[in-house]
Amino acid sequence: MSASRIAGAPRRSRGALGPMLRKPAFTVGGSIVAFLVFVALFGPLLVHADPFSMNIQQRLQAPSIHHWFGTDEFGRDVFTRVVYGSRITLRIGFISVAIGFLGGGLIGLLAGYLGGWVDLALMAFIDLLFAFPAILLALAIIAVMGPGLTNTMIAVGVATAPSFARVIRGSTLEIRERVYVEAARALGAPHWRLLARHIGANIVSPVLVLVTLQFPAALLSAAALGFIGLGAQPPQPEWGAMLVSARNYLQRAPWMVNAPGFAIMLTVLGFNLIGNALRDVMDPTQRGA
Amino acid sequence: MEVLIPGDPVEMMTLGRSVDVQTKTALRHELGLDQPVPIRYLHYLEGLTRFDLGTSVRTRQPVTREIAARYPNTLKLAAGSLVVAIVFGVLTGVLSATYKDTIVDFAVSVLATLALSMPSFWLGLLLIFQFGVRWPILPVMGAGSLASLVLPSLTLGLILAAAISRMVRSSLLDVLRLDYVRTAHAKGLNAARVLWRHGVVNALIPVITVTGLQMGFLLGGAFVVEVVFAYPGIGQLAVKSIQYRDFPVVQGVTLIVAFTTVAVNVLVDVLYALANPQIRFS
Repeated sequence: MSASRIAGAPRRSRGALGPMLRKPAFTVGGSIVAFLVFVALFGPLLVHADPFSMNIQQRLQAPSIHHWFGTDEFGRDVFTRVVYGSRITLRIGFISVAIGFLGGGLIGLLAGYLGGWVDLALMAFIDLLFAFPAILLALAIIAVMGPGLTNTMIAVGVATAPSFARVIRGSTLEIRERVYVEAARALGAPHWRLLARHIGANIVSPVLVLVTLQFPAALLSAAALGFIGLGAQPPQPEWGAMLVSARNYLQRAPWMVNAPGFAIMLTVLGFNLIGNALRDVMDPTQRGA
Repeated sequence: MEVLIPGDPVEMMTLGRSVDVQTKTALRHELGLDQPVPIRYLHYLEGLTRFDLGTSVRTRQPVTREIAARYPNTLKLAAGSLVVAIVFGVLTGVLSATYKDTIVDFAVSVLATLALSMPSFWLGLLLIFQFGVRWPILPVMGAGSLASLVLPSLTLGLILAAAISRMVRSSLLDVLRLDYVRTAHAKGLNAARVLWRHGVVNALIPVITVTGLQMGFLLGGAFVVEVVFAYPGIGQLAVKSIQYRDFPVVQGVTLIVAFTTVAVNVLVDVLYALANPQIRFS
């Protein structure tokens, strides 16, 4: 314990990667996600088929050397479509979590920093949104804005915003009262500096944990919306939407169910594992079972 | 709360139907859509006091009737899933806590992690394929018999079971470390009795709260699972209504779901107080 550190000021969480790498969950999750990112970036360059090209003579073919995962009811190659689908999935995850983080984060930061009636009003609104399960909130938004991929990202993003608002408000409230923030304020630091340098920098770890845990949740919601026909619309090779036709051909072409569903599970699993490992390392008080 | 609920009912009228202007105007008038929004909103609120949620645009039936016909089905599905979730969740949780750090514990944890990453609709499709196509012993569509409830309940319940299993495990491990458990062992009670009577019963108290929080997941999940199994609940109704721009029904379902969530939360609080003698309402 060195005397030069201001009492109560948290140590910079440097070197969090070391303990992370010792966690098998992180290694496995990280490998899955790395593989996924690779597929999304380079996959479409490596597969030759067109995810949209139809070929009625080739419809409902079982998996073979030509069609690794078989073909669908229009004779499209399922493997190619799954590969292209990875791009859609990752885009959905990034954009919707970004929307939730920015929107919810701003609300949470304002509520926590300003306090008083602003806090009361904003949090009453957030509590109201919490009365709805996330997927229903997303459904309600889709109901107003109409189905589609873009609206799905917005709807899922808005549905994740309440969690961000709550976590960021809680952390902000806690850190705002710390001695070093008071010291900075006493020294005349402007609001933006307090928010960015002293509060923002110190709520990074809970936010990072939340981001990695909301990411897979957002993917599941978006895929579910695609599946019930309100998210990505055909012919887009979105994994959830691909399962709609798989359902109708369950008897004649059961292979259509496997690949897209497995792809969703693998992706969600990868991010979940990373999120759990991050939570264990960064927040020892909430250590999971 | 009602501020959120009215969406944009005008939109549904503009949906590309080839209807002449006169019919449209007549229809608008009939549905009260030619009146300004605040007036319509007041009408809606006034209707609420009489349990009147308006009329479905698609079926021309009162929204309350549409919902009342399906709401019990959704409750049945939720109840069935909850039973599945608790039975599987508690059993596997106790199992992995008892055999902590063994292959059993590891297997349960891997299964739980996989289940939590699984999209419910995919699990549903796999179950349909297994028990409806390959080995046709269970109905895969609709509602009515108890058997038709099995697959949808399993789909939703197994995923929730994974979450419950983890909580039971960690909560039970905490409880088993406590003094009274050691005392019970020292008294010479047999191990199974100590585990269940002193351990599990007390470990379940925090689990009740967290399970209560998962009721939202259950309701939301029911929406998707109902579509998978063509199960006539309010979720399927809502999805169909959104596709047909049947806003009065969407509003009605949203209202009823919000109401249910709040009611369940209150119920969970009461249950928690009943289960935990340390809490008394003053």
